[in-house]
Amino acid sequence: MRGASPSKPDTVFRVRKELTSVALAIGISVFLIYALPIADYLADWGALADIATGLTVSLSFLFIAISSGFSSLKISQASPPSTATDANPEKGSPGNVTPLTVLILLAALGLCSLEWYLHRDDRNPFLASSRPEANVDTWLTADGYAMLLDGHIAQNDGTFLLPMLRMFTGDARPAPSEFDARAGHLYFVSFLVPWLGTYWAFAGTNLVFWWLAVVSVWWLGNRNWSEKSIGLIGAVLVATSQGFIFMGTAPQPHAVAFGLFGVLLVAHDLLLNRRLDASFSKAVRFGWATGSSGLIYFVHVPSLIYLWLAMPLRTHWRVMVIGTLTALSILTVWQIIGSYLGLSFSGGNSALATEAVANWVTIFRGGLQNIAAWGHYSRPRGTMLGAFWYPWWILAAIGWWKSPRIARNWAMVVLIAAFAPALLFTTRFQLPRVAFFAYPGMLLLASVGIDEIAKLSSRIVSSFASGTAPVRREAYIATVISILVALATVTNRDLITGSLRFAVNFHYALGTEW
Amino acid sequence: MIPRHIGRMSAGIAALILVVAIVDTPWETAVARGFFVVSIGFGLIAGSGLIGARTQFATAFVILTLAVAQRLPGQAVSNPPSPNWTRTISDTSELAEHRFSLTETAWKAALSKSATTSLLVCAEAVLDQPDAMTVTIATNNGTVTRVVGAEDAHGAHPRPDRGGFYRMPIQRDLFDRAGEATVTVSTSKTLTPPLRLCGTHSIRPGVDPNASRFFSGTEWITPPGPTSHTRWLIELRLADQRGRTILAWY
Repeated sequence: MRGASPSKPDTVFRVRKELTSVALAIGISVFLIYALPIADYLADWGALADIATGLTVSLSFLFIAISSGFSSLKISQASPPSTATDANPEKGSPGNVTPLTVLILLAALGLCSLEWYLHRDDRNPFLASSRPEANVDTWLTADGYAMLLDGHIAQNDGTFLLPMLRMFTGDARPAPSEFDARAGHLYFVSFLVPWLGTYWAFAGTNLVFWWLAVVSVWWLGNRNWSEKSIGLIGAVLVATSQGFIFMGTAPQPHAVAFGLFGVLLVAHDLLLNRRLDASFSKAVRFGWATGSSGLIYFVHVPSLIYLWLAMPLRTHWRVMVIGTLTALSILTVWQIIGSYLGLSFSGGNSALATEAVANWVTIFRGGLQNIAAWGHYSRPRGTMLGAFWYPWWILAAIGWWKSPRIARNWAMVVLIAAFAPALLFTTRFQLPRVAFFAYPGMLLLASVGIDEIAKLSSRIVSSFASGTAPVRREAYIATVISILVALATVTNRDLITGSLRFAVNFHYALGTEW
Repeated sequence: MIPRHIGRMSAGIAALILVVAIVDTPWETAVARGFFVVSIGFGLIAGSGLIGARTQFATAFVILTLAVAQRLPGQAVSNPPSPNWTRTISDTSELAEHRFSLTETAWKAALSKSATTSLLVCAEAVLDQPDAMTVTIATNNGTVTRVVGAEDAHGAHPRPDRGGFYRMPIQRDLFDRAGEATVTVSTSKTLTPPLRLCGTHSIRPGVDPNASRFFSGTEWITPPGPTSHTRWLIELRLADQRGRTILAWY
């Protein structure tokens, strides 16, 4: 992505290609809707708009990804990062720790801890959204899909992780389960069990990676945008984001995986993007990091898509191949070792992914009608909105428009890497939690949107008031804080009003309602 | 010079982590831990070297501390009690009872907004008959008794071989200004085979831990179950005008 000539900056993405992709997607979506068979749901304008939006967004990302592939092939020469190709070459240097840095890190930990603690036990949105009041699984008991872990009420899927956890603590022999491929998560949790007990060990592990996600986004914001405020605003958005709040105290690997994706983006930047000597060893190191993260939960999929889209294919294909093979090797070696230990690696998400692929084959065999109907039955719009609600999309759109080209391209690659698997999986399940892997790109673009609105507010205030720098600065800060508080109010709505709406949307994805 | 020195120390600590992880453990645990120390542990240590030698040393030290802590005697992995158990009610003299407190603010607020109320009872295995179970609900406004059977099955799960809810609509007036409601469940006289009533934990704060009990024919006892806070799976549901559940209560 940054390997282009300074004299003629060339990147994987260009605005005109993105806009062309969107225009093409809109046209094809409208055409596809005409291909749909007559059905009751087509009599509803809201449902029609739902299909059109779902198809348009999905096809837009598909066409942008395809155009990036072609652009990628054209770039034939890698050159050093420069002011033309490197958004912020002087900033983001690791190892430069100042008192302010420490203060920011501590503040980030404090904010994550506050959200984490407020959403513990029965207030964990993953668990709460399974209660009958959520009106999805109404056949469940009043406490939802729950178990008692050390006396704490917790999401019940954690039950199936405990045999593996006992293996790591040395208390039991290996027992096969659907979650054998996610053993790395339980390796982390097993460190904390003797100190904290099982419930807090799971929750504590989540908190550590929640904080790492915040720090990663802060670093990536400083790295890709020149304004210091972008990284800071992005960090607050991650700390108060729906995905981390939803998973914060659940005995599940998702929060850990979300955090690791942010760390992997940083690692990619340090190992491959910032340096031209993207050598064999660096590719192996990034592949190793990706494969190890894939032992937690699913992170390797968006990470590998990112690897293949973030750099010019023609000049970096060896790095991509080596990184991919290394990552897959790590995962394969664990399967071999685990099988030797008696684990099964069957069922669970692997089986569901296979079913999703089989469903796609059926859809394509069914022709245009089935492809168009996917936009209704698989709820692509609902999946994306479940992960990030309208205000975040609007802010991100503003941010995309106002961001410098390099940063915009970087964010778009992150979005594609996260949304592609989520959309592909919709034929089996709608999982906004998978789409949430887009948080580094999405929330940093939203940060730019907030920054732009605050700047506008500052200009408006200065036109009425004295126009002095302190006044403009105060107006800017007040606007940023107001928007951040408003967004945090949305993600904390469950605590404030008791409404489970956003938790339900994140758990199951929206239907055709707007 | 210092970073190189620290780098060597980090490598030494990494080797020590591996030793600590695998020594004197069951061989399966040693193999699994060994793999993850190498893949994740060493990966983290190597990766943190990108930030700086001191960060790498700190990472190695933290992982060693955690590996040691993993070996220390402490809390064991908990064994969650089963959230689902059943009690067979085989004789008409046996009775299951659950008392609902209706004085809490959450109940009153939801009742004022509700359009319909219903009682849900979970049972297993026997309700393929139309008259399997007799349910009585009593408040200070009156008493309602109904025979519940297969046609009252509610939700996805009720099957003859699997527990599930059976739903009984209740007139909302029964709860007006009521401070308590008592539900009793007994078998039908014509019943064969016996009824199996579901039970689970009583988790919500504020709920009387003795709200559920069982009459064995001679005495009242607490329901069976894996914890001291057990309850029958008998719940009240309040729904709004669109039929959406606004409160599930026990």
